[in-house]
Amino acid sequence: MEASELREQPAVVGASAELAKIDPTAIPARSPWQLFWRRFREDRLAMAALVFLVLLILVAIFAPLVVKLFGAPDPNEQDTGALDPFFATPTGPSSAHLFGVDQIGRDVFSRTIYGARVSLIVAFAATALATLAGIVTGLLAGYLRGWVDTAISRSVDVLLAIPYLLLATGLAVACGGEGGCLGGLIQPGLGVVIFVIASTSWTYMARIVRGQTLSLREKEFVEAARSVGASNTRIIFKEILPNLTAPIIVYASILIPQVILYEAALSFLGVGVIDQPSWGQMISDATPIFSDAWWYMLFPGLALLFTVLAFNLVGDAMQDALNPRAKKT
Amino acid sequence: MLRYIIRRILWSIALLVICSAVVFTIFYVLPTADPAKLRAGKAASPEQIELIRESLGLDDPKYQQFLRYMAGVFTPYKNEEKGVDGPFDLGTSIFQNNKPVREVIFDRLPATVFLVTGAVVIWLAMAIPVGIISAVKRRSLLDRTTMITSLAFISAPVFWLGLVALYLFAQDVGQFPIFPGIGSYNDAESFTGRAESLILPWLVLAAATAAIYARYLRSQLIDVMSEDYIRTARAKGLSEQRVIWRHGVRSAITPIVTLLGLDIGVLLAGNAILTESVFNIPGIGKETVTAIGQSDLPLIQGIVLFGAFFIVILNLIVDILYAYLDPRVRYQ
Amino acid sequence: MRLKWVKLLVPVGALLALALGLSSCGDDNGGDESTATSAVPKEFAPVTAAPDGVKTGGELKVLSAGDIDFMDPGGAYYLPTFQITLAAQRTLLSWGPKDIEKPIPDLAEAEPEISDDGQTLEFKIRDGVRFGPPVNREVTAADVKYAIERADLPGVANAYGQLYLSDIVGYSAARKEAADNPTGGAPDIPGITTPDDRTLRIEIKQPPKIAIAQVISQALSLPISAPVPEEYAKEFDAKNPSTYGQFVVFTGPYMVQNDCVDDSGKVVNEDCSGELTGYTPGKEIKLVRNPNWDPDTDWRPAYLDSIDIQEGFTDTASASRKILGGEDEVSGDFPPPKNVLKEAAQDSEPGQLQLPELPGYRHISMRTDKPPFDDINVRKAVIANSDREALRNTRGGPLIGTVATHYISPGFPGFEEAGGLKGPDLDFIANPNGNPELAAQYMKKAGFKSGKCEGSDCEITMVGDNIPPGKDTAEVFKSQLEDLGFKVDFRPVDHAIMYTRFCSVPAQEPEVCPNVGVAPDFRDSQVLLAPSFSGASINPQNNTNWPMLDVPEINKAIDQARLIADPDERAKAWAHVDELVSEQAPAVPWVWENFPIIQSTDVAGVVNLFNASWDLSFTSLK
Repeated sequence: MEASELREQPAVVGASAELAKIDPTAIPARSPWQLFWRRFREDRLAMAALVFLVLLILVAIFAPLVVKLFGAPDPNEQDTGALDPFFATPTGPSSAHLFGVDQIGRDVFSRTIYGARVSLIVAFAATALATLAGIVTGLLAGYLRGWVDTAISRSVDVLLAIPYLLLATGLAVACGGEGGCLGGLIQPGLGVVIFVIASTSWTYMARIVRGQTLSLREKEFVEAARSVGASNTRIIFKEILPNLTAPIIVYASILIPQVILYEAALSFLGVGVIDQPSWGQMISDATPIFSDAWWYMLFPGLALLFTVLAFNLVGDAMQDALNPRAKKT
Repeated sequence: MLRYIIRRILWSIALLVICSAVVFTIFYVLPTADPAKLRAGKAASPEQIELIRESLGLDDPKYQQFLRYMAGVFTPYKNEEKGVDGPFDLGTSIFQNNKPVREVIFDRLPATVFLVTGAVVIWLAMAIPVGIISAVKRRSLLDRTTMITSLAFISAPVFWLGLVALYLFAQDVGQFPIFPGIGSYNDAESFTGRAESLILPWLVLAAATAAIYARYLRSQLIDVMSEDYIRTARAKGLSEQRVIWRHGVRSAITPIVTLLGLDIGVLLAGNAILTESVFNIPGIGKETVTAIGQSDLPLIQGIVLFGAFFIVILNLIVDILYAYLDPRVRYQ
Repeated sequence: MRLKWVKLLVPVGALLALALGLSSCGDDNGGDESTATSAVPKEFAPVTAAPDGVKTGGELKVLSAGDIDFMDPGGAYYLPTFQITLAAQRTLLSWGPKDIEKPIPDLAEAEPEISDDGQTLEFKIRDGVRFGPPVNREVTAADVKYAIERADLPGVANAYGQLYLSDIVGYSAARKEAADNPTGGAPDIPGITTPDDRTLRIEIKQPPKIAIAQVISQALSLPISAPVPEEYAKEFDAKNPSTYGQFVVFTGPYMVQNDCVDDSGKVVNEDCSGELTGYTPGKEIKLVRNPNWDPDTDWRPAYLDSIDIQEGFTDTASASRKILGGEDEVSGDFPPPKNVLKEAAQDSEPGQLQLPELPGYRHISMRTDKPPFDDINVRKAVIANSDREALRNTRGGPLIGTVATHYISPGFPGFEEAGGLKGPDLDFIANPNGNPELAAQYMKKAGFKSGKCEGSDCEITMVGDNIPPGKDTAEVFKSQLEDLGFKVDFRPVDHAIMYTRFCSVPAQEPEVCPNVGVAPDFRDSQVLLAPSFSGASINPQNNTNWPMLDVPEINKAIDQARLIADPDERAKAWAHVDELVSEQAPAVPWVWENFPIIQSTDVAGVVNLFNASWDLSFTSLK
């Protein structure tokens, strides 16, 4: 084991390991999922956060409806009447514009609602990609060991060596020029952002899956399966993978808020999404005028804060629910 | 121990080489556009572009360019014609008046170091007491409030925190003018002046990390406190305070120390970008932001490589330190 | 430091008047001390003379966001760079603070003598003008000849010589020779001769014309005629690119500090190389007094002892507040952003904010040589639809400029004849807020039955600035285009790259370039119209005819107008060209700008109206 692995050993060991410790006669028979959910529900704050997230997803999906409901204009509509007649500076919250307007007269409330789309799409897509890549590489590395493991672990080391924000901006700039990257496969915009974030985040999941696989493959049920003559593929898919589902979900849910902040940072730096309203970019646009036009900076920021906070609370509660030991003492 | 160190050093060197290869790929191989055009800068007439192509040797086969690039970085190889000036030739910037990238980096390094050092001091000073107290008074109201507050700080984007802090406390535009505002680092003439201008940035940069460390220390401490040897210590009759300090904190601290090493490395190598951008501090991060706006490819490339090198070397130091502290690692 | 809370006496009244009666306020004759145009309230009118009881001494700090383009006068072609060259270089003719009709003699003793047939142009060089250290000797005509010749070298990268000087005998041949042999030294231009040390004679190609001579004379007010000593400079010019920019010698009252002088402009090192120590690109330019400058030979007073130009103030909002609340500071190359402009207009002391007119115009070009904008009806529809006031508002309210209606800008000959503020009598340009019904009609004329664009030609690209306010202008225009049914792919890039890689290179130019504009090189309407709309100006590199307009009638009118010497006739001729161009609807002209400049309360700034910036030779500290 490398020192770096010892350092980053996650606190949770393995879902099946923990759940296996429970005395089967003491408690009425319930599936591991029911137990998990039960523990999760105990955390009131996390439940509230979960409700908030569900609402947020609904708002993002039905953004046009929500905007109309509140009587706000289209997010790209430029209301020049909302600008100061002498100085063309933006005006703040009013009856016509709940959250005020930005420097070219676009409604901040609308844009905040629509901004949820970008944040959530990138969050889920990039996390999904990163998780998928992480699972595949982690499984292969942990199960097959040997040179496969070395190759994959070393690649992870390389990627971890390059500071991710710099790498992301470097990739985004390199692929932001004419023609994009890889002969036009990767074009500037949403595609680049998701690609860049996924390619610098998969290492996180890979490490975890590898660690879990390493310990799982030594378990008796795996040995049993092997002794019966099951092929490696069968073992991976039928024995190991199902036991990984719980930690994968937990760690993916921890990854999501980081990805959201990551995308906001990239948008703030100007290498994120350009053509759609995005919270990070709105804050970036607000920077030159934030001292006067505070609304333009505040509302997207609060949106980010609450969204990430909600995901963090949910992720925390899931982690606690998976590892009840932390609550015992 | 020695064998371990040698192995780590060899791997670090290999890592440096591989990282350079990755960076080279990203900036020379991946983009579809003409590399000469991407590096031509302000005056991009066809003659200028051809001049650039020749002077950078962009017509040569990729492997030759790659070898030249590697030689320029690692060896004292010099080739005036092709603009290579090793060692540590990280490229030449376009928009910083063709200054060598390493010069630009060394110019800007002090500001970033100052920013990060101050932030580290503050976040340790905040995180350690908070983490310990929260662990000890577990599940009390204090614990829960601090944990929720820290979660809030972790969840807020650092650049937004910076803007909010400026809006509230900046001397020129804030509601409660206490601290110097944007750009005051450039104005400051003395060391103390600069330090004063960094107070808000330090607090902002420290806030999120302090929160992470407080929570991490708390959970580490809680885990450690339930270990057998703690129970033994208590059974032996040691006072609770001694138990916490001598046994609990000491073993919980070790992973923090190494995590600290990593985080400092990551910050110094560029994650302070967002804070520097908001507060207009002339460090490496701000330089990167300017380079992004101008698409100064060589400069960004050089900074990325520098960042990678820094982290690899810091990782090496931290690993050796860790091996020294935790004997389990060496014996494999 | 907090802004001083001294309210102006009648700012609100002035602003109301502004909003209500733009077109009714007289016309724009200059002539008195504060040259207010109709658009600028008296409070912000630029001050063009030093105050009574002016004090000498002190150091002025100029805060700038970016860097100059070239320190080498042969290459300098950027308004912020001109702020320095106007104070540090003496050109044959130059521009004092008030000179908005024509340049005044500077290095030349008097205006040039033009022969009756327009064949020759003769300048008499003033006595007693000396180069700064380390060259020190008196300037001769040969130094001006060399300056013009070396500008042909590719290593000097002069961008305008061939635009205005190609009618000089032997000019084009010399230019070609320089291109073929870039390190072979500056080739001789036979048409420029120096019969004696004090005389510079220029001979014009057949058929000569007085008008051409006049244009050449005006063009020589640009830094290209700043004298360069050949014996000193030729070793630098033998390199490509030339390194003279690091060793420039100066003839004006100020010079960039080099290794010969100390902070006060005294020579301390006789054995110096002339290397500029006062210029750190991207950081600072330090101007000190030129010890060899003789005030008796110059109309510049040069009150200040030194000027420190500090670059890198990219956060223009806090930089502006710093200037307004600070001491000894003025703004350099950036205008205060909208919100700070508001603070300055409402809260600053009288004179802190001044609004000189920025000569020229900004326009949004459409490529007339490619679909969909090759159809004139589509172009007319776009112009009719565009809310030009909204575009103007992205840079600020009425204070920062008037909505443009054509291309000759206020104060230039032919402005009134071309329609003045109201503009030409064309329906699609009549309403500054746009006229969607008229736009729909024009689209229908173009064949789009629905009144909106349909089909694959409607997918267009737009390359613009990546920072406000340019980015905002592009976004506003994008949404206006989208209202007409276009699908716009907007690519924001760095401003310089927008020109050098996209808009000024026809092979790469997108259908729409929203952030282009014309800053005239001197006060003749030729420079407002010919480079932007003449077919002859189309260039594969550094193209300024962004709409790619090539209409024979217009080209002919331009060629004719160029050759008219009589000022009134010339004005009418250019006004006619302006009308023809407007009728072709190649672009959306959207603002004639005022450029806000600010100073600290203890600065007695004088504005140079030619450059719309603080005149360093006339500004003083209180």
